[in-house]
This record gives sequence, C-alpha cells and structure tokens, in this order.
Amino acid sequence: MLNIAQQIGRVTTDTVADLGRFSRFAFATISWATVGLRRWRNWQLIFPQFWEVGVRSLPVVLLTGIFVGMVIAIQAYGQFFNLGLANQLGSIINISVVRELGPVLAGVMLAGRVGGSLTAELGTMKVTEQIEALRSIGADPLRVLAAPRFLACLLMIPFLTVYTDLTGVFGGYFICVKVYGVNAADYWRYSAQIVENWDVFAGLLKSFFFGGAIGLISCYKGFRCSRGASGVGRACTEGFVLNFIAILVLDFFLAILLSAIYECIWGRISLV
Amino acid sequence: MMPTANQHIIELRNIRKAFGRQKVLDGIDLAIQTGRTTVVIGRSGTGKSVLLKHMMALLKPDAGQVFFDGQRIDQLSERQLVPIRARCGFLFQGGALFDSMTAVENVAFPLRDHLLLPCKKAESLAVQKLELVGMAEHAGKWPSQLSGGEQKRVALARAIVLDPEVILYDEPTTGLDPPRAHIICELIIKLQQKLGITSVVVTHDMTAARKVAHRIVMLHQGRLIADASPDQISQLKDPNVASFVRGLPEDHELAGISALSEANS
Repeated sequence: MLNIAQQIGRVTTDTVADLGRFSRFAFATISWATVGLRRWRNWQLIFPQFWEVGVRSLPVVLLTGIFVGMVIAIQAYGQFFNLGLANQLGSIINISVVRELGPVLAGVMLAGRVGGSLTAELGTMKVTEQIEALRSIGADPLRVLAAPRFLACLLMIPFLTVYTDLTGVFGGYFICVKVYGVNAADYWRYSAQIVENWDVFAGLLKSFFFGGAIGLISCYKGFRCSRGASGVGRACTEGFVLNFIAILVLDFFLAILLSAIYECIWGRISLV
Repeated sequence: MMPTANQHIIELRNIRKAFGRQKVLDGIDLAIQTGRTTVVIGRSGTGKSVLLKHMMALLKPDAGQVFFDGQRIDQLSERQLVPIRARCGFLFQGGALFDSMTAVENVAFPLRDHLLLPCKKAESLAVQKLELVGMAEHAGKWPSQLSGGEQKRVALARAIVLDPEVILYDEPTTGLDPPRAHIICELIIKLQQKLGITSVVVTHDMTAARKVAHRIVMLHQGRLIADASPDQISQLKDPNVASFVRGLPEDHELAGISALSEANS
C-alpha cells in the first residue's frame, strides 16, 4: 500500500515538474519567436524550416484530404440515398471535412511526419552534443533551433490544412458525382447553403493551435532526449503520443469555444 | 577575496556536482593559470568532462563558485553568459559539428551569429581558420563525409574562429591514430605559443598530456589527487596516480582476468 502511494506521489511530482519545465520552455521559445521575427538573421534560420515543414509535407496532406473526403462520401451515401437525400450529400461531407476532419487528420498526419522528424533531429543533436556546442559559442539553442521550428509549424500547418480541405472537398465530389451519379449542381448548391465562412475559419483557427502544439511538444521532447539511440526513439514515441493527445484535447475545447461564439453571434447551428 | 584576474583566468572553488545519487565532483578547487596549458587526467567516467563544462558554465554546480577573469559566472543566465562564452572556445569529444552545415559553414557560424558578418566575409575568415588546422581543402564537405580526426580539426577551427582567450579541449586525441593525435597536440602547442591562448585539456592519453602540458592535475573519485608538472607527475607516490601514469591496472582490477585464466587451465 505504501509502495503504491509512493509511486503515485512520484508520478505526480514528476508530471508536475515536467509540466513546469515545458511551460518555461514554451514561454522562452515563444518569446524568442516573437523577438526573432524582427531580425533578418533569424529569418535565415526560419525559411529552411518553412520548406521542411510546409513544402515537404504537402504530398502527405494532399493524400490525407482526398481519402478523407472519399471515405466520408462512401460511408454517408447509403444512409442519405435511403432517406432520399442523396443530392444533399455535399453539405455533410464538406462541413465535416472543413470544420473537423480536415484540420484534425492533417494535424495527426503532421504530428507523425513533422513532429517525429523534429524530435528525432533535435534529439540526435542533443545526444551528439551539438546543442551544447551551440551554447558553448554563445548561441541560444532556443533561438537557433526551437523558435524557427515552432514558427514554421505555427504558420505552415494552417496552409497545409487549406490543402487538406481542398482535396477533401474534391474527394467527396468525385465519389458522389462521378461514381454515384449525384447531380453536380445540387451537390454544390447544398454545400454552399451549409458551409459558411465561419466553418472554414474555425477549421483553420484550430489548425493554428495544432501547429503551435506540434512545434512546442516536438522540440521540447527533442531537447529533453536522453542518451543513446533508445533515448531518441523513446523521445519520438513520447512526442507523437503527446502531440496526438494535445490535438484531441485542443480540438475538444476549441469546438466548445467556437460553438459558443457562433451561437452567441448567429444562434444555434442546424444542418437541416 | 576575488581571484586575481591576470594570474588565473578561471577559478573553481569547492565545486560539488551530483547526477541523481551519483556524486561526480566532490569539492574541487582549481585555478587555471593564464596563458598556460593545464591538463586534467583521470580514468574514464571520473567526471573530467563534467569539470571542463563547469569552466564555461555549460553545467552549473550544485555547490561552489566558478569565476572567469574575476567575474562569478555560475549564477549568470544564458544571455548574460554570451560575452563570457565568446571569449572561450570548446572542443567537444566527438567534434559536435552541426550536421546540417558543411565544414566551412560550421566554422563560419559563430562569426555570422556573434559578429553578424555577411555570409561571404564569414566564410573567407572561416577558410583561413581551416587552413590553420590543415582542412581548407575539405571546406565544402559535410561532417558525415569527414573522418573522426578531420571532424576534430574542423571543430578546432570552429573553437578558435572568434580568437578566444581560452580553449577547453575535451579528449582531443581520443579515437585518433597516433599521427593524427600528434597533429592535434602540435596544434594545441602552436595555438598556446603563438597566440598565448590559455588551454585546459581533459584527456586520459598520457602521451598527449606530457606533450602539451605545463601542469597536470589528476581527478579521482570526484577529487583532485595530484597537481604537478609533466616531469614531476611520474614521480608521485600516490598509488592511483602512479597506476594511471604508468598505465598499469591495480591488482583487484586484474582479478577477473586471473579467474578466467584459472578456469581455462
């Protein structure tokens, strides 16, 4: 019994200590990111990260989007057809993609691709003393390494989400109109009736938060990586799991917040 | 009393450091003489690198004080440490070259980051430093294309690129063949003699230690147990020092091998 109490105590204090360290890390990284944007020398560190996080992730998010759209269309068609509402499929597919599935699934894919690569890169730099080498020449690793990567995730992931949304919409259209023969004009008319600018904005706002969380968590895990190949592997796994949980938790709270804001301004949401 | 700036550029006072329950440094007092080469010897895992990292505040002591040129540095923040670190160079054990940069970019990085020099000017100065360590022809190579010895020489060029007053060398000859180890030793001596740089070398290579040192100190179980000139160190009676300097293990360390021999016979 005493052992169990000891273990619970140890896990609690470790978790609280880790949360404190993460908060300090996040605050310092965001400070550097804010200050860094004013200096050209820092932009030279940021642009390669835009390429790495943004451009190189494009194929992954394009594929994610198109398959998400196609799968929702296939799953929903039978139900809507039986109710005689097949021509209204565009509304449910597109609002699901734009408001929820596009940002979340793009976030999850990027947590794997970008987050994993950031943690592995920084973790390897940690274990090969490259981060200490930066400190030894008076360059703050948070400014040189963490801030540019955080900014790239924060600013690029919303752009990538736009591409996920676009291909998701196209995937849904392809299955409904080209495969199941739904009338194209009806498909777009019902989509336009239901999907509002607010939905697109809400999806992109979420992705902004997901991007920030992926950048901070992945860099933190890389910086805290323990020695050896197993240390890097463990940091990558922990980073991915934490990113995934963060995306789901953020999605939940942002959904509550954004729905409340919408209801305050425009009243209750209805799809029919 | 503050340490005298001109005599001792680095001073460690009663430094204690532990990682978890493992006590690594247990009350170290050490003053590094300006313009001289001090070598810290000791067995693997005795905390030599930990000691070296305290001199530049890359690690902070659990207790004790670190002074650099009369200024206490163990309580400074990373930002406050920048001007101190600009006066020091650190050669890491594995080189620690940035693997996303070529050799010349690695050497130019401190110039671009500290002095905000334009890329071309920084790289032309970096090539001059690479020439000094005989690596100019490898300037465009990536760290992965360089051998261990070449990486160390590029790392040395990076360590000296800001013309530091002090260079800290962490195992500079470990893993190198004898001719390459000799080249590194010659570089350390040349830098000390021509530029008057203060050097602290951590090593367990006694050949290198004798070549470069003005003074040798030995770290054992978290404490300094010897402090002598290269000539005197061999004459010390302490069994730990004698065993290390002669390269002979103690009897209890051979017990396992003796048991193996007996089992085979």
